This record gives sequence, C-alpha cells and structure tokens, in this order.
Amino acid sequence: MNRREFLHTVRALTANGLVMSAMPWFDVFAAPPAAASAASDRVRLGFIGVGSRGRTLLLNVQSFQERLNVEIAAVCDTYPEHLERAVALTGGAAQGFDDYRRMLQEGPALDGVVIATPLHEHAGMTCDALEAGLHVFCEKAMARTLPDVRRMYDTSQRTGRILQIGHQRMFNPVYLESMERIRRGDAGAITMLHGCWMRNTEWLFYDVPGGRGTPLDRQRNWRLYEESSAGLLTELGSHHFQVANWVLDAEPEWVMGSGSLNFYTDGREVDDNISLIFRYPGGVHFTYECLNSNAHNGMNFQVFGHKATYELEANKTYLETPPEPPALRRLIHSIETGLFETIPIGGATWIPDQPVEYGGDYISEDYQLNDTQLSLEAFAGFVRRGQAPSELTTQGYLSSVWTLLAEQAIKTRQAVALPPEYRI
Amino acid sequence: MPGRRSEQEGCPAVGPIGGCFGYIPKDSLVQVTGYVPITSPSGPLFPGILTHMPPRESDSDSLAAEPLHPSCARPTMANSVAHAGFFCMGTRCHIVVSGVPQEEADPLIRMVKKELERVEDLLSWFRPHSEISRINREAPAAETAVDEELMDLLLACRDAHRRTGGAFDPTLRPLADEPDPDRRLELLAEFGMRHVRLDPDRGTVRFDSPRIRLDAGGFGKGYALDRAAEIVRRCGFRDALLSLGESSITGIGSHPAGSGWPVGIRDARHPNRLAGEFRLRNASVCTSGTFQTGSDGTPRPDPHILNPRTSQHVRDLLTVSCMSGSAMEAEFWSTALLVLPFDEWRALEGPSSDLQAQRFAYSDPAGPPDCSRHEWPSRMSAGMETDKKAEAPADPERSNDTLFHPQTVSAP
Repeated sequence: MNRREFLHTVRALTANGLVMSAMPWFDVFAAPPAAASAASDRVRLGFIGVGSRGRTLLLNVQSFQERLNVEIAAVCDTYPEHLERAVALTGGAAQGFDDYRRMLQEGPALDGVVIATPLHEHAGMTCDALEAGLHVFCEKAMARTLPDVRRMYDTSQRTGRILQIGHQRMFNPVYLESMERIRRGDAGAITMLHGCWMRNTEWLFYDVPGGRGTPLDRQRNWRLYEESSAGLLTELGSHHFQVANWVLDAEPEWVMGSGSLNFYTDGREVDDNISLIFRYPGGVHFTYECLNSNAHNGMNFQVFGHKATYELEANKTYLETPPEPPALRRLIHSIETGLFETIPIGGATWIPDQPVEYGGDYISEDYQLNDTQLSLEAFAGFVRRGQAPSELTTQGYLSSVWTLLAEQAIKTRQAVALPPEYRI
Repeated sequence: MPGRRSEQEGCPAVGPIGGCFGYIPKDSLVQVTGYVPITSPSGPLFPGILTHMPPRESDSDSLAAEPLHPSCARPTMANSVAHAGFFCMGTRCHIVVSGVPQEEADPLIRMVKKELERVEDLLSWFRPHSEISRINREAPAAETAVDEELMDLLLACRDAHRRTGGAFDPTLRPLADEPDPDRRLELLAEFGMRHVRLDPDRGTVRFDSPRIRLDAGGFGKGYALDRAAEIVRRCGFRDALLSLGESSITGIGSHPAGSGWPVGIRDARHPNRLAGEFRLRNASVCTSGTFQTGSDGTPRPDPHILNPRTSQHVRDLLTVSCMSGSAMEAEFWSTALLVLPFDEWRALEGPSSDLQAQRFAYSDPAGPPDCSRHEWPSRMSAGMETDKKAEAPADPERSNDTLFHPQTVSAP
C-alpha cells in the first residue's frame, strides 16, 4: 500500500462511516486541512528531548515539513551532544535550549511541541506546554504515575489543547485495514487476543562507566529504573495495550500478572520478563508477554476470532476455513432449488495465495508506509485545525492507565480493576 | 501395526465403521477412520474402493453399499443441503451432502476430515514424520518395513506405472527439482519406479537407486477421496459431492434434481466458463495440470510436472481430466496422460477399469482450449458406472478417440 492507496482506503472508510465511528482520527487524512505555503500558515513545532526516539521523530517531521508547511523552530535537550546534533539536523534553523521552560517562555512562537523524554518527565513538560497554550505530541506511555496521567488528561481537557500520545499503530495502514475487516465481522466473534514482544537484548541505550545503579546510568538508561520507568510495561507493552482496547472497542475489567528479573540481574530494577492477563467484557482475555532474553517469538499481536486470525504486527491473516471455490455457492443453490445444471467447479488444484502451510495472506499488500511519520503528519494536521477528536487522547489515556494498573497487579499479585477516580 | 487402527469386528468389506451415524456414541466415531484393506472377490485390492460395490437393485443411479444396519437408511429431505470446507493436503476440501440438514452431516464431516488428516499424515512429502518421509529416509539404505496400507498403495502405483507405459512415476520429484536440463538428462536413468523393489510377502520396500524419493502428489488426493467416499456411504449418506482442491472431485449418488452429479471443468483462462463436463455417478474426476489455481481463479505455473521419458518439464498450459470409479485411478491417469502426447494414448495398456479422459490445451490465448477425449472401456467384470458409454462391450483393442469442440457456455 502506497500513500495514494492509503488515502483512497481512508476516504472509502470515511464514506462508509467506519472512520468516523471507530477511528475518527483518520479523518485528518480523509479531509486534510489546506496547507498553504505562506509563512503565516506555517505550523511551528518545538522538540523537547532529541535523544534516540526524539531524533527519529524529528527526522520524520523533516520528511514532510515542506509538503505540509511545518517548521521545526526550537529543540531542547539537557544532553549537549543531542542538542547540538538536533540543531545541526535542522541546518541551524532551530533554536536550541537546554531547559524546556526557557524554550516555552523565551523561545520562538510555537504552535505545538513534540515530547520524547524519560517517562517520569512527561507529565510536567506536557502540562506546562498545554498551560502555555501549545498542542502536545507526547511519546507513550503518558506518565510514570496514575495521578500524573490523570493530570495530563485533565489539563488537555481544561485548556482545550490537543494531547496526542505516540501510539503510532493508530495510524498504521495495516491496523486500519484490519480494524475495518474485524469490525465488519471477517474474523467472526473475537474470543481471545494475544500479544508478545520478545527480544534478546540488554536494553542498554548507552554504555555508562560504572554500569548499573550509577547516577549517570539512572539518567541515561532511565528505562531500567523504577523511578523513571515501569520498564517493559510502559516502554513496550503500552503500545499493545492500546491496540487491545482498540480492537475490542472496550477497556479491561481487570488485569492480573507476574513479572521478574530472571536473567539481567545486573542491578537494574525493572523486570526483564512479564506475563499478563487482561480480562475484557464478554469474557474475552488478552494475554501478553514480554521477554528480554529470547527473541524467538518476536513481536506479535494476534486477534483470534471463530472465523479467522489476524496477526497485526506480521500483517497476516489466517482463515479458519478456506475461501470457497467460486462455484460452490452455485452448486449449493442448485441443490436447494432443484436446478440440475453443470457447474464449473473442477480444474487445476487450488493453492493458498501464500506458499505457507495453509495460507496466511497479507492483510495489506506491499505496505510501505511509516506509521510514525503518519502519526506526526496527523499531529501537524490537527494542530493546523486547532482541534483533534477526543478519541485521540482517550486511547492514549486508557493505555497508560492500564499499563500502570498492570504494574500494580504484578507488584501486589492481585487482580486489579480501574479505580473510580480514573474513569473518564 | 502402524496405520492399522481398526481391528474390531465390523463390515467385512471396509472394516469397522462403528455403527450408523447419529446413533453411535461420539467416542466411537474415531474408530471409523484408519486403514482396512479393501477386498473384492472379483478383482485386485486396487484400484478403488467403489469399484467392487454391487449396485443396489432399487436404485440404479447409486452404487452405494448398503448401510451397516437397516436403521441407517434415512428418508431423504428434499432440497436440504449441508456443506463444509477446511484446509487439507495443502489445499482446500469441500464437502456437500444433499438431502440432510447441516447438524446431521456435521459428525460425518468431522469424520471425513479426520480421515483425510490421517491420510495426509501418512503420505505428506512435507511432514518429516509421515510414512512416506520415513520410507524416503530409510529405503535407499535398507529393506524398509511398511504396513499393509502403504504396501497396497505402492503395489497400486507399480501397476499404474506399468499400465501407463511409465508415464505415471512417483519417484521423480528430486529430478523435477533439478533446474539444469542437461543434468536432468544425465540423471534420468537413475530414476524410475523400477528402482523401487517391493516385497509384498515380507512387507518391505527398498530403493536400489539412492536418488529416488516417493512423492504421493500424483495420487494422494485421490486415495484420500476414496477413503472419504467410503466413510460417507458407509455412514448411510446417499448423495454427496466431495472436492479436494477442485482437482479431485467425487460424486456419490445424485444431485436431487437429476442423475449423478454434473461437474464442469473450468476454462483455466475464463474460470466462469466450462471447458469440459463429466457426469459423476459414483465416480470421481481428477484434473492434473501444468499449473495451479489461485484464489482469483487464475493459473499459476507449477514447475513440478516432468515428462519421465525426456526428463523435460511440461511447460504448455495444459490440463487432463480423468473420470473413473476410483479417484486414485483417475489421479494416476490424469497425472500420466498430462505428460503424454494425445496420439500416444491409444497405445497404452490402459487402466484396469473404465476411464474417460479429456485433455484441454490452452494454445490460443484468447479462445477456448482445444479438447481431445479418449475412453477406455472396462476389462474387468467388477462393475462400475462412469457413463452410459461405458456400457459398450469390453474390448481391449477398442479405443474411442474423439476430438471435439468444448462447450463455450458461459456461466451466468
């Protein structure tokens, strides 16, 4: 699927009402706001955090900034090397800051900010930016604590500013096409979900002298420490928790699970393996595992229905029963109606479309689109409009809340439900 | 003995079936499947399960055996139909049972599926644990014991190899996979069914060439269908159509509105048009082609078809459909006739039972295929019915060739 086909699909789904009801955020592609080339129409963005993920986001914005008339006006990072690198990437066009507050107060006029900092810093930065009247794209998960997640959500509601969380699968054409098919019943009744994210990695973004536990390591490899991250849950799992809610169009009733550090016992604090069960309405379970010491199962998200399986990360679908020969319906009809006719049902052997045992067809053919880029394009479009569908924020909110409830479940060894104060 | 799962008392012809459908405890259904050799007082074990069955006096259209118990005979419900599809043997299987509601056919469908899965597990080239795979591993080096079912199949293959003048040859797959035509020609002498040494008394097989491997691709689906058809009829269902990948189709009994099952062969380039037609009356039609069919009905080249005489791949867009009382026999012959020029067909010894063959050559990209037809009448006293023409007197010297223009009736 190329961009043209993607847009065609989005418009078709908009026409049949699916986009508007189940994934209204795609509307920004179906009816993109006009991006005039004048400087006055420019969307001006600032970046807070331009480390590994922040740099990726910046490069993605640069890939469409001319087409959509977007300007990267400011960048901020406390780590000088990253800051210099980001300024250089903009050819010196962006103004550099080592303190985001200064960027918000003294920097160039901005319409929105893109935040890609350690998890525990998200809430303060997001709320300050929203209070300053800016729209916010914040990397997932939203925050380290439930009160902070709630504060971010409430602030965006109160200020009327956009808060988009970096769940790029919400903009993935494979997911888009899958949701359409699942909602029209192609998979049958959804009876179970399964997801996993397995890697064989130390998960070190930086080699730090002194190793784990040093103040510098806590700052640089922040994903490994409890004060700044819930580890696999917030950094990986939250993506798929959002997908589960989206597929089922519901939120869990409760979550239970367990986790441990059974391999990387080097002083890090977050689990290197987790296993969870989310229970959804209708008795549907979503089971999920993450592992850092074996990559065999890779990353997968499976939707099991009584008619088909959808593997969303693999872009594959498997039917429980094969497609019918074109003439079979006619044969059955001829029996039912007593019509004696010759039906062209014979011929050379039918083979599945993919040469894998018993099929597995691509959900989306020739899929080439980068969903991170699409999600940022969408953000630019929403900023230009000055508003975004509320589902954009609630998807991120519910994912983050249930990520942190899963952490509670692991720590307390209890099934954990949503406390009333976090209902929205 | 491996593969021989049903040992209890039961039907003398096909072994224990466990009783009539719908009346048997669920647990005993599993005993229906499993190999029991087909015996006939009037002929060899093979080919075919259907061929030895005497026709019912009261039903000239049906050669189905009597159900095990009189209580199995069920009244036919007009115009009700049950059907199901599932993946099997690398393709799709569809079962249509006429005259019964779905819930009555469902246990039968489960039983058929189980039997097809058993046969696949026995014959699959792709499964390391299949019997064929075990033979392919062991028989090049040593006398290898095989069970009765495999031995019967291998004897039937050897017989078909002889009758087709060597055109049916299940040992060639490694040669077909060799891309270099010169190398294939060099290796040709090291391939062939003659290198398969069978000892039926001792129940062993030995390859005397290290290169050959047995591949059931040319007969496995037919065998599976014969097994499935037997289960359908033994369970007392009179009218059904079974399809394995559409290339192997068995018609049992009749369509409710006529005699037998009228089955059309698709025009490979125009899937809604008929290239040819067969009337299946307790018979099967199998189609071999130099291509396979995708879900959109379009042809996709199959590189595995090799002429055993020349070691060259058959590259023309071509299919051969054969109808016989036995699906396996139909498969043997459609596989063999695909690689032989039509003018050589009449010189063959011919099948062991009635067989009608139609050849479709797609030489004109725009038009319908050129069709040629040949029939072999029965040489055996054991009756089977393929077509009215089969009632012609059996005469080994007589053959019936026809060239005819295909039907170009477009399906609505």
